[in-house]
Amino acid sequence: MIEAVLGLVPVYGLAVVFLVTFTGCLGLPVPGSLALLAAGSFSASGDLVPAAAIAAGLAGALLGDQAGYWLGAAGTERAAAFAERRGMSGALARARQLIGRFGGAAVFFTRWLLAPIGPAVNLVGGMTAMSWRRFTVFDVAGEIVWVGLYFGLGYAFSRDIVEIAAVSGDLVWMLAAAAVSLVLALRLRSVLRARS
Amino acid sequence: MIDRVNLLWRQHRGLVLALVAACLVTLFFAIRLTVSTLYWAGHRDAALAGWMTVGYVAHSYDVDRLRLAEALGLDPSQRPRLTLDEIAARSGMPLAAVEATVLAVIAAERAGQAEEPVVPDRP
Repeated sequence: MIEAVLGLVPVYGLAVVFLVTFTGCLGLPVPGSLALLAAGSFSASGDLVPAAAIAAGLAGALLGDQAGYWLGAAGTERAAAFAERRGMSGALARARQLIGRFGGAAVFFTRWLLAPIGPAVNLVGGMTAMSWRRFTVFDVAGEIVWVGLYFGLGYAFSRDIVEIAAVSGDLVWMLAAAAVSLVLALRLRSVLRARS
Repeated sequence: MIDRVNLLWRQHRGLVLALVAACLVTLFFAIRLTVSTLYWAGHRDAALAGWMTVGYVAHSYDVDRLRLAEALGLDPSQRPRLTLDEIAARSGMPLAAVEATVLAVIAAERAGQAEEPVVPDRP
């Protein structure tokens, strides 16, 4: 899988970098971080122009996030109607409150540290009517970190690209799963507290 | 404690199952991360592979790019960024033969025989 993506980047160039980061940020199961590692690695070996590769990755990521946000925003009314029918208006209101309080940080950290959760946060941001400007500011900051981090890792450790890809992929998924576990555990704890 | 677990299981089964699943996924990636880190520590020398470009091999093994391209029978004016797989497909050679040529260039360069050109056997 890792080697298949590494093989696509030199053959199709920047188009692959753009398409994979774009669709990855929309939530499709494609390896966006790996495409950036490959872009950095092939920039180090002189096969890609570094500035162009970074631009392609950043453009794909930002456009993918925007598409996710607007998809969520388009579904706002439907989400509200659904919550109403199921008697979950309270939950939706609470989600809005949470986004209002932690939304910026959530957007920033799910761009790179907890990247697998990013596409869901885009949708929720749009659905809960998080301000577009706020979303975009934190999104741009987070994606610069994401693209810079993986491109830089690929560039610096070009020789060990396969190992870096395996290790960083596992690390990010582990962190994302740990974050989800933590949120669920806190939720269960608050349920217990409310009972006693 | 048991009462609490029972209560959660009865009334919030979905949440409990989601927590168990998330913990298992965390554990799975933690184990895989440990294994691949240990494996990496023991295998420093990356082997040649079909996805590698001529430039990548030159960069990775510290050999001259043009010399490598020449040994592989590539025209320097050709599109750069050709992978070993592509070179094999174009020349009709198996990948192993292309890799053997590359290894010969690397060996020659490391042995300091820069003057001696390496010519691959061609069908």
